[in-house]
Amino acid sequence: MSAPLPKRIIKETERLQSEPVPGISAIPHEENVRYFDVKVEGPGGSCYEGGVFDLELFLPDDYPMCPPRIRFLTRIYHPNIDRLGRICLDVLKNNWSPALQIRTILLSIQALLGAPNPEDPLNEAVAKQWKENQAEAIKTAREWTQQYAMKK
Amino acid sequence: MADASASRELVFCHSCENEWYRSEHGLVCPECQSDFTEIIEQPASDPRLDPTHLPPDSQPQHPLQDHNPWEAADPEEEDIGGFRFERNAPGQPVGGTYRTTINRTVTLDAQGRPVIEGGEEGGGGGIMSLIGGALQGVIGPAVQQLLAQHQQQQNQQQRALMPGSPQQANQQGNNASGFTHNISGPGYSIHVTSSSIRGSTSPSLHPRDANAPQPLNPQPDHLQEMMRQMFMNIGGYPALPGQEQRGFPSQMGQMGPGGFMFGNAPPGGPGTPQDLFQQMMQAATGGAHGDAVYSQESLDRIVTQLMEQHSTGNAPGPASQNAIKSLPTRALTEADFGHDGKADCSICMSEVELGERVTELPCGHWFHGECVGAWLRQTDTCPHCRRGIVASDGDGNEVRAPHETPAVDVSTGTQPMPGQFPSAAPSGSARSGGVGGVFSSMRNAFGGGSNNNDNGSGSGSRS
Repeated sequence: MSAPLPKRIIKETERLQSEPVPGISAIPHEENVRYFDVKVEGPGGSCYEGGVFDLELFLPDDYPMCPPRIRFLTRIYHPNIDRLGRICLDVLKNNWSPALQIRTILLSIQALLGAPNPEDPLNEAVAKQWKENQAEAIKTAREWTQQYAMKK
Repeated sequence: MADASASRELVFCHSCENEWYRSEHGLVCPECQSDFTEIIEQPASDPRLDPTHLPPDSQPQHPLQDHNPWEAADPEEEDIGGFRFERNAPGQPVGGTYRTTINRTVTLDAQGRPVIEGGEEGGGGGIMSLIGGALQGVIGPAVQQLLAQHQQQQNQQQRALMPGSPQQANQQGNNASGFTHNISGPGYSIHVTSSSIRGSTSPSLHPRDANAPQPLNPQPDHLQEMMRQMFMNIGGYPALPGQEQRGFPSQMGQMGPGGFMFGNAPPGGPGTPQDLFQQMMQAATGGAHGDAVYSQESLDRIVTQLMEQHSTGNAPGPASQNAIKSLPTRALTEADFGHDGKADCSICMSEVELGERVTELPCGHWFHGECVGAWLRQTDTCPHCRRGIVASDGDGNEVRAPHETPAVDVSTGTQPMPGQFPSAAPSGSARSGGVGGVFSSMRNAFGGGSNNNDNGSGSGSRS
């Protein structure tokens, strides 16, 4: 059962193509326009700088009344992203609002890369390291970025 | 066999273990007058070496007490070793042929009837008889007599040489399509079932063919029933499979296209091995179905499910229908449009026109009545500033006027950035210098719900 494609999704998709956000791309699948291949560049100055992270994004039937579902596909060392790529981000959950859009959500995720929050961890081990030895954690994050998020 | 005995037939009495030459005393035992005797032809079938041929006085002993399966003289060894599976050659129908022999030892009671191990013949039998019955039930329909013929030939000689009484003991669960061979005497009885299964003809058993993919056959009903009865015998398994609650709901799998599922839907119907396993664990622990998980994948599925269940957990509940109905509507004026003369409902993103009637929330933000109604019935917040439409805010949150900063999080006093963690921004900014740019770009993208122009529709309309 699939709801008819709302005008909003068409508009958002068009706008993502015509006015792309720097450092972010979201391209819908041909066979399912609710499913997007997303690439997010690690923010400059962060330990993810230089990396390009793949994500998948899916707009459920009741979008925009419920948030899109997003997951990192590229491995990333981050206290708010677990090893399955699930993201702990309030606007993807209880702070979702229908006035938010794909582009704003992706910007939020990019901002989350620039501002890890070990106080609200999804990945306990990473968050612990982040709190106890931040330099080491950032070093690991850089290594992971180098290893998984950079084209060789 | 070059010695003298080769020319003279040796006769053995099964009753008293006496031995004599046939030429001297004939076939009836000179000691006990029993006619249950056997001519010993070759060492391989010498009944004297068969530990199941026991004298009456050693009845209490287990018939297989001295059994040595590697003993070359064991007359049954050939049958036991006959288990093999022949896969069909490529090009032939999928399947193959199992050949196996099932040997079973049964003791007789005083009336000469077979005593089922476990001793409760009427009460459904013990686990062993259940297994035996179920196995025969499973195998039975598919059994052919190929091996049976082979074995009959082999055994005919043996039987003919036992003029006494290979007496037939009718066994429960005996299937006519299987070959059975009963030998019994005073105090013992041997029940041999030989069967061959042809996988290609079986409706439920399906030997794997490694050369070709095959459909997944359901488990035989008999097997499941057998397991169920076993657990009932153990005493920890209350319900029929299929009546119990299924595991984690399959809603986890509704995610959609190619690989975007966060979890796997639960496998097949009742009767899968995993199902049985879960039932076993349930029986063992007495817990409710789904209380425990046994793999990382299952745990991940639960965590994902919880995350999604709680996705709106902290969000305010729905606004009352009355409150939504009583929201005022108004016509859009020029002040509602941006510099480019365009505006849209930020929920459906459709452009609005001058004079179009929209619904205005107490905070001053406006939307299509239908759009904002759908949202408010779910969550009582303004999509822009998150203020509720119910006048008295019970949570003690400060009620914001539309000209104020539409803060996402009042506590930090930071810019209204969607997705920001309350405590993340200051430390994050301090650590990584480039974040400010991201934040400002986010502000631009988000547009803000209100400003001095009081352009309530906000996002997207001016970017």
